[in-house]
Amino acid sequence: MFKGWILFLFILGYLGVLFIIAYIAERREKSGRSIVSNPYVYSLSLAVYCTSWTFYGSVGRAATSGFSFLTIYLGPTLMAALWAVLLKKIIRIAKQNRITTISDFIGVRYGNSLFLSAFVTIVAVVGITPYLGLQIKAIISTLTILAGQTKGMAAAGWYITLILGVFAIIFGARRLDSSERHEGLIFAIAFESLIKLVAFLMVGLYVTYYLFDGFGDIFDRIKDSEFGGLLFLGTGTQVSYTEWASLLFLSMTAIMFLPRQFHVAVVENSDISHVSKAMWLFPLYLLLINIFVMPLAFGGLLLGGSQADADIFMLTIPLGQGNLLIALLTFIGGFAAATGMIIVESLALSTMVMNNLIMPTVYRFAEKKLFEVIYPVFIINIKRLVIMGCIAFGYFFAVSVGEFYSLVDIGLKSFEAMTIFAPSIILGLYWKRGNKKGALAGIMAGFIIWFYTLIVPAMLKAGIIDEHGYFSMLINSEILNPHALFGLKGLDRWSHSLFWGLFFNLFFYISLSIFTKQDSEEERQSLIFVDSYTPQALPARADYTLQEIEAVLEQYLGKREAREIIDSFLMKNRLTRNSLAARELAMVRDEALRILSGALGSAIATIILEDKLLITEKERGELSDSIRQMTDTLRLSRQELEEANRSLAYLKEFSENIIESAPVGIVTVDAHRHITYWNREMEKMTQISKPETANRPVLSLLPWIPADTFEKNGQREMELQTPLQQSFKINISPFTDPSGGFVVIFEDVTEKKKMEEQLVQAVKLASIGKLTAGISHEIGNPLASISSLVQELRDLPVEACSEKTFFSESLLTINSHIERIARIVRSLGDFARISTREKTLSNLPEILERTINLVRYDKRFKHIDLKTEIGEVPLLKVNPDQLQQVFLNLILNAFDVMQDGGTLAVSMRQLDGFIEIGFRDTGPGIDSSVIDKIFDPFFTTKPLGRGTGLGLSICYGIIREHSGTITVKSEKGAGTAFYIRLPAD
Amino acid sequence: MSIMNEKILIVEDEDTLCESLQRVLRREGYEVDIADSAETAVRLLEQYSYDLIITDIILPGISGIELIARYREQKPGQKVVIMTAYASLETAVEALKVGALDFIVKPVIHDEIKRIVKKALGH
Repeated sequence: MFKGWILFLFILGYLGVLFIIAYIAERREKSGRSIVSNPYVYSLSLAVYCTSWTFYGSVGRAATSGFSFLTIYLGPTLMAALWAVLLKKIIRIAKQNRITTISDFIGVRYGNSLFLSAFVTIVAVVGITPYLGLQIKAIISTLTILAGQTKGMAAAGWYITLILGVFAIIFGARRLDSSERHEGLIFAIAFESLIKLVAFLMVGLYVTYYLFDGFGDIFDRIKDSEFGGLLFLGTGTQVSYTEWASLLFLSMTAIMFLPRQFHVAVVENSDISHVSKAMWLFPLYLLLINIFVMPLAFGGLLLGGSQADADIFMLTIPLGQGNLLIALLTFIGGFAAATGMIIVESLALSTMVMNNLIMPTVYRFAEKKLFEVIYPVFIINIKRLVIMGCIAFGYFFAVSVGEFYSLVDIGLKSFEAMTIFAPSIILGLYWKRGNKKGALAGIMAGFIIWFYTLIVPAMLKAGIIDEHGYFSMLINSEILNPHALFGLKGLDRWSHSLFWGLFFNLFFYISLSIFTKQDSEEERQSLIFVDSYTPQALPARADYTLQEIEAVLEQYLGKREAREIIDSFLMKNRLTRNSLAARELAMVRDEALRILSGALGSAIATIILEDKLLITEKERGELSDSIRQMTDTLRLSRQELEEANRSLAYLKEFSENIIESAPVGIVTVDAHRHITYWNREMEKMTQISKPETANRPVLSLLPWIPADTFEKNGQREMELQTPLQQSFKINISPFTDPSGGFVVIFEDVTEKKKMEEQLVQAVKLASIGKLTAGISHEIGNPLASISSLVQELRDLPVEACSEKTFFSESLLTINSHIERIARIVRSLGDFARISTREKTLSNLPEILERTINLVRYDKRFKHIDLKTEIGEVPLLKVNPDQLQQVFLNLILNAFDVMQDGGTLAVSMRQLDGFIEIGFRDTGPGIDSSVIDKIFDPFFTTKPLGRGTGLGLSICYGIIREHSGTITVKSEKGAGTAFYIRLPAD
Repeated sequence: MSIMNEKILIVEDEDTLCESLQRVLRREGYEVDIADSAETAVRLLEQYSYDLIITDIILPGISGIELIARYREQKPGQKVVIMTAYASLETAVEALKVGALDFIVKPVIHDEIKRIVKKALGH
């Protein structure tokens, strides 16, 4: 037997070693040479699953129920096969969402529900604390056995519990960040796993091969003993098949969802690939630690131990043989198994309680300002208190209730509790429709069933509650009997509880999920979990600084801690403080968020960090709304722009079209007087094509424009005559554009000028015609008087003969002159009286013949050769007298100019649409300087007194009256030709 | 020649021509009165009657045509010869409309006027 204090020192020594190992691991981590981040340590840390229950309880169960103990290890082994799918998915999601506990996991999955997390936390605490207590009970009872006395052992247990609490605080809660991995802690746990395995194997080897002759010996002997039934399963044995199956299922869920398993497997996982190796390393560990369970159990029985004390065979066998060393080794192994579990479990529970119960409460009820001020000191200490509280709670459970139950019993109750989470988690990972209401109802239902069917009977048994009154009636009723709920009998209590628990859990979860709707956050979270969907966040903003991030961390973690975190993160990622790219800054921010999430729970951390640094969800919504609006506006503007562009192109084409189609020449010149534009009309007018003009000096192309035209500013107009007898009206306006240049508009006014001249002529003739009436009358009257007198004189008898002759001759002369005057007056009168009223259908050739006949036999013209060439023409509606006048005028004119003889050719023919009558003489021709004037009234080339100057003018008037034209072609010395054209309609 | 002196009124604002024609026709044996306007002519016509009136068309006041038109309402059988500076169809038509027997184009040829007067008076 050991002295109590020696054992205590031994324990302290062991814990000291643990401290040193953890410390070394932490140092290595900080220097970047982790000894923890590998699949072996990971697998060993998973072995925290094997608690004192495994170490002592398996042997106890094997001794009482045979192989049924194996279910607890076969379950995880089966589960390990699913890890590649299930565990990896959980790890991935947890890492992405900075999830640190099983309660966070469920809460986040179902729409970030704080309430659900809180409820899960309560269930976990209630479910797990007995398990914690179980470990403490194991430590106390083994100490008692080793020391051989019970005195002071409860106190020793208490101290050891406290020390474990301190250990958990130092390596698990020295800093606030629970999302960060705790390499020191994990390495210590792995070390403990190794210790318990070695210890168990040593004891197993000692019993099997030292006390007995190996497996065969032990199994043969037990088969022949009264305990032979332990080697069989099924009817007639202690373990039914249903129980076997139920236990398998319980342990399968336990390995996944026990808070400490979640912690080591998910939170402390440094590399997801480690899972692959752990998938066979962990089952191997379980195999090794179970190899000697049966031999030890049977050995204990064969050596005379009772089934009731089987839980402590591990210690009683070596003690019974007096082998204190082996006993001590056993104790250390058992202690390692218990402490590992206590440390990790208390840490996991405290994180849950902190993040899901205390932090939200503090955050909700404390003033935010106050919260920020007190936080760094306050919160970390609360967390430490919670760890201690969890352990203390376990301790009190151990010393009060624990005594009434075996290790396995207490452990299985916890396992049962963990199955409550199974539907929500597993279905939640693969079924998108699973919603918050379903999860909450399911978990509540499961918890109620668990509590009623397992805890209430336990409490009854422990005497904590009494059966009396209505409660007694309830418990003993047919339907609500906690051992046979709804009349379901024949099941062991584990299967019974599991069946009803899962039944109601699944029923509520599935039915509520189907019949109620998810809100948008639940939908998003379910997408994240089920489809491993990563929401497309806005690109990380870079308008926060490293200092701001650090300041936020300082507020919650303390100045030194914050700086340390930032520095180590920067160092790990080979970044320097002063040269962070936006992406790297975003990494730092994410790290800060991760760390704060670890400390405060992801919900609170997100609130704080986003409040401090980042845009809130609402703002993000508003921002993306406004971005969408901007994009819409941009798209609209782009459409408008395109439309405007099209309109512009159309407008350009349109205006170019206008310029090109304009009936005036348009030319633009630049400041250097070079042509930049030349339109189609310009091409037509000048016969210079557009390409020839490009960039040519305007003055070289149009040399008839005065050189100084473009020297002056301001708009001007001028009229110019080209060498080709074209008349142009030119408008020059300078561009308003400061770069200079001019727009020049050319208008061809050649035709217009001609018409103007003709108009002037016509007006002149018309006015003369009007005057003539008056003139004719005024001249006529005196002429009439003279004439009358002269006639009188002529008829008077004259006395002297000589006088008489002179008198009468003079009178004759007077009279002849008067006749001439009278002729003039008559001509003028005729001219004035031109009228179209007297037109009749006439035969033009006949009129012409008649006129010719008037002069043909005149003796004065006998030396002129008159040729006629008169063709067939249709009848025309004309004034025959007037036309005769015209013909006569032209013929007489010709005769006049050919005093010395010549030829007059008269022709008449029908051309296209008109009738042409020509009079071509062989006279001296008309001087080109006067040819424009021959149709003017009073213009004559004849010697003074020989012509009236009205003949051609009258002809012109008559022909115009007939809508025809009269033109003249003449060349000096080559005769003159007149052509009359009358329309032939 | 003629036994009874036939009476002729010449209405003409051109005095020289008017007097000349008076002399010419007197020599022919006619009794000739002259008037230098239509208004004078009207006064004469109120006192005397004439076998023939020779009148210019364009006169200072009332035109010759109008004078004739009015007087022939009074004395429808009045013989009239029109004298005009230019001969045109319109003038002729107008003259004939108011009842003129003939018209004389100025300048007046004496032989022509004698013949026309003789013809008008029915000799």
